[in-house]
Amino acid sequence: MTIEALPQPVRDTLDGLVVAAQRAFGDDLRAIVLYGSAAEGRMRATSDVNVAIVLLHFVEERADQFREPFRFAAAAIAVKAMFLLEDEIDDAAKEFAQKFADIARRRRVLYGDDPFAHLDIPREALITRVQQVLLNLTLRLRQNYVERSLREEQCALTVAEVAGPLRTSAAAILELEGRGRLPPKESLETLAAELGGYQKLLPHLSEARERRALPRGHAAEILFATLGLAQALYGRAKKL
Amino acid sequence: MNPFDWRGPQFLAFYFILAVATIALMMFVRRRRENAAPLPPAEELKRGALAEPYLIAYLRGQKNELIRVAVVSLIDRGLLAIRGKLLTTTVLGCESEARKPFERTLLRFCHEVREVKELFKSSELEAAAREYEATLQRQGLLVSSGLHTLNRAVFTIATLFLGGIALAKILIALDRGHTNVGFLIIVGVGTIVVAAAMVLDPRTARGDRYIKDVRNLFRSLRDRAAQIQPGGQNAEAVLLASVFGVTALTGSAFEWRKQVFPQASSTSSCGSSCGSSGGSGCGGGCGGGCGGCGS
Repeated sequence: MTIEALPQPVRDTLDGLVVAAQRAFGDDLRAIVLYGSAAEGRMRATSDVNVAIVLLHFVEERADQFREPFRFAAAAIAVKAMFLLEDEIDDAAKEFAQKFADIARRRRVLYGDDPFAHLDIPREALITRVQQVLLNLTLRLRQNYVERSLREEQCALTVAEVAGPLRTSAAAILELEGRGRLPPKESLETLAAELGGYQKLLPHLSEARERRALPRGHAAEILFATLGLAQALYGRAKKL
Repeated sequence: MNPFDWRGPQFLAFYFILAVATIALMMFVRRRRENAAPLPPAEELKRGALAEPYLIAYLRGQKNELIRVAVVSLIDRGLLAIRGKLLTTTVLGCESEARKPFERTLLRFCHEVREVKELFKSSELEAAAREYEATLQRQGLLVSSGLHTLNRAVFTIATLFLGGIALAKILIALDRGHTNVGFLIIVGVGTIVVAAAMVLDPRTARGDRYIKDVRNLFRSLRDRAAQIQPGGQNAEAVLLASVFGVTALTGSAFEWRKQVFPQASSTSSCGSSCGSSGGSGCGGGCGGGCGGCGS
């Protein structure tokens, strides 16, 4: 995937963001890396555009200059930025192992040298984090089911929000099981088939991400099935 | 071959062609003058050199649009409160230091309870808005004062020319006993209105392109307008309003904007389906409450 595969507004905005970051942070700016679905060229209506901005120092005066252009970009294309110091990369990779495993899988360097080229994510840290993420998703989905499932449009938003983390968790599980690196969407398809009973759910996850909508009259049951999938993945992660 | 001797339909066709040619010539002169001015590179604009929402609002609809967007932003952040048609700075608004000079002026202006329509007549706000006009003129997105004067002069000459020809034909027709001059009057007035809209528009071709570009850029934000969260934690609400107008804030959290700007609501593209604006209260954004600034 190249950056040219992204929609024009996303490209223009990222282009502007890189220039603004260079101007604001100057020689403190080490790299800007696009990661997640945008880096893979699989952006959907609900997709955030995730970027890691790697700096030498985070200086107030320099950050101030970046505020206005960043808010502009965030509003235009839903950019979410992680401001990371160069010497924090290894610690962050341990603490947020699943996120960094995803960065290792799907990234495009927009500026500078690739700071994640030699990313070392300890296996134990990744297992702990995958379990933590899936348990957290399970608890959140239970809460959301009780709070939101009377309203169909809210169900669709919830399903759209958790589809991404479920996919990246599935990719991490397969990787930890020694089955290689598959793209997150395909990883979830593989695991859903193995866990049984969830294949029919997956098109609805995509639908929720693409259209923020679910089939009329079935949104609540789809949300409940998504909770079931999260629980099943958590159970699988516990066996790692 | 004297056009004044031609019959009505032939003269109308001649007049129409003359009017189109005159407007085209005026626009040619205008664009040439616009392009002659030294401007920053167009790429700079694409790269967010005008990332400031209030500049976009001013470019789109000058002072009045700037006021509307600033009011919406300040209410959303809980710094201004609306009660019926009255605006006042909240306690939070009095205690917070707004970063932008225009916001500070607006909050100061609303220390006294104000009717919304007072804002549009305020000389204080007009003066504060000039910084945006100057910036946009420097960027070549609004015509400079000198060019605006020239455009007015060209428009006046063209109006006298086209109006004079129409008037002469009407007088000749009446002198010859013809009274069917209604069409010519309509075409004459229509021509002047169209010429005024095109030649006196303060926005340059470059400004038009920029508005088109930002509308394209913020298309996806408009698609998710209903999900925008109130409270001003990010710039989504203010940028949506600045790029597309306050009517683009369609989420239920921004129902109060119909109360503040009912006229803007009634001209909204969603028409009557938007529902009633009366008595909807402040919604989620008013926060802070009213109460003035320690008076």
